[in-house]
Amino acid sequence: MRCPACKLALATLEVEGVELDFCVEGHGYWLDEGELEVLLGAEETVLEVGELGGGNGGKGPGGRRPRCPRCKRSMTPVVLFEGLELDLCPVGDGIWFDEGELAVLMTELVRAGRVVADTPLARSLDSLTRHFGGTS
Amino acid sequence: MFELIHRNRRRSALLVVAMTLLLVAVGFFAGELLGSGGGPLGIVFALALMGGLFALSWFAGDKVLLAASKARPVDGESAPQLVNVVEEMSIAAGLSKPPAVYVIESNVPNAFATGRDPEHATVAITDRLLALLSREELQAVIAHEIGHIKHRDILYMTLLSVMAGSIALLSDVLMRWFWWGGGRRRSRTSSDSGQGELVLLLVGFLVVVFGALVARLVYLAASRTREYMADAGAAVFTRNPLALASALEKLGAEQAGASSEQGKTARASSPVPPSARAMLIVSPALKAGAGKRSQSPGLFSTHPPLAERIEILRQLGGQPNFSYGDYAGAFKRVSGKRASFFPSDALGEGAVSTMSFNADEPAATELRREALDGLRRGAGWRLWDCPCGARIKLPMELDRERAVACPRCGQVAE
Repeated sequence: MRCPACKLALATLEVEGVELDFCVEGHGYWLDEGELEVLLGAEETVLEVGELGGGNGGKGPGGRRPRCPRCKRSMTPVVLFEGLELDLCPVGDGIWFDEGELAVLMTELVRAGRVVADTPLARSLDSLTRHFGGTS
Repeated sequence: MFELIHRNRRRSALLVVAMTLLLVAVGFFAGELLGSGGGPLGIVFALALMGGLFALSWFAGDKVLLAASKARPVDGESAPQLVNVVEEMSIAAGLSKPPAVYVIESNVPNAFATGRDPEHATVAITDRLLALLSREELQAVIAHEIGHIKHRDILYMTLLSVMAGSIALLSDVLMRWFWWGGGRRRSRTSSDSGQGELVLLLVGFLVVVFGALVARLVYLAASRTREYMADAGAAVFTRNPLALASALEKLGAEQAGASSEQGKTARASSPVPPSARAMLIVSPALKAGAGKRSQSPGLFSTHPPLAERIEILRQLGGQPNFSYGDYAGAFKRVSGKRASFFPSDALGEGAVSTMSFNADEPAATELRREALDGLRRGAGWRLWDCPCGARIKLPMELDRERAVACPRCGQVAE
């Protein structure tokens, strides 16, 4: 798989028995369908990844949309809340988080009281977002 | 057990002879229909076609299949736990040599066996299957595949498949030839010939048209009985029928879920080419609800109904001990049919005591990761264990000079 932003081959990170794909250069994360929920230890769907329609044919404001690293379809931008626009695969393969976006989502979820607080995985995720998000 | 294989060989040999006769008949009539007196040439052509295809699958069939399904090998070093399970089951089944182990990166849970005989056999497993099953369930699925190897289904089903394929090919070519007007020319030149030839033409036409259908149905029916026998073998080898029942249930649920979700149909498709479907543990792309027993037995299916296979295994699991005979008995109770494919001699063989099945055992995710890491190492990935406990896996495409920091603790690799 290649990074939707810079086309570099994605590396894989294994923490607490969960695997994530990340870009060693741009520090973005690719989460396959369902991985976000595993990561958060959430019982129900945190972010519905489903049929979104065909995107906008690869063009739009701001140039070409990044393509899904799995199916190569151009991804659909989804505004989750004020200040966070994520790229979702139009057929539900997964979600692309640019650098820092995972941290923004985490902060918002914690604020809304939706994350399981103190698991090894949640602590990992916290440090993951610290190193890749916000700080750099 | 040996008797089971022996008797099976006789039955199988009979079926192969019958299929050969059908192939010869189709060849003969195809030759005759193309030109009076062309029958013998048609037979030669049909047999040569089958021989060629069979030689191809004998020498390269497994390689082609493994390459087409993008399977890659693992060994005792790269995936010790998975290879260990395969070796355990090979010993339980009494194979002289454990099969090679291949892993397929696919989000469709399935497994298959291929090769020509127990000495040249391979078991391939998708990583989704590893993600789904507990260790006991995985043992059962592998034991099922080893059952196919032990019963020599891998060669036999390839042979039948090649024969059915040759017949279909001949029939198809002939039909097209007629469709494009070949038959009209032929009938003009024979307008003065007698009624006998007209009958011959009619019979030949029917043989060619229905031969392909019959051959396919024979192939599929043989495939379905082989599935039951591999299930019976897996139950005996593992002494744990409920583990296989549970694994099949998970596979069925996963496939039904995948194919009912819109837009995901491509993902639910088979991890192997259509020609190899008989080799899989469950038939691919089950339609939603196909697991229900109310559905017709499916003459055109390579696999028996999943619900039936599960129910038979559950009945065995409820007994303190069981034998092949008990499997045949349960088969009769569940399907309402006689297990005629089970040779009566095998039914008297000794019973094994049933092991208890732990349904709450978690999926063997550690085993899956180990196997996938093994695949990655084989594909030139670099694996780095960061002191913070995270493991970073770098694909071959990433140049080695690039500095990579652990996303969790920020430490830079090497």
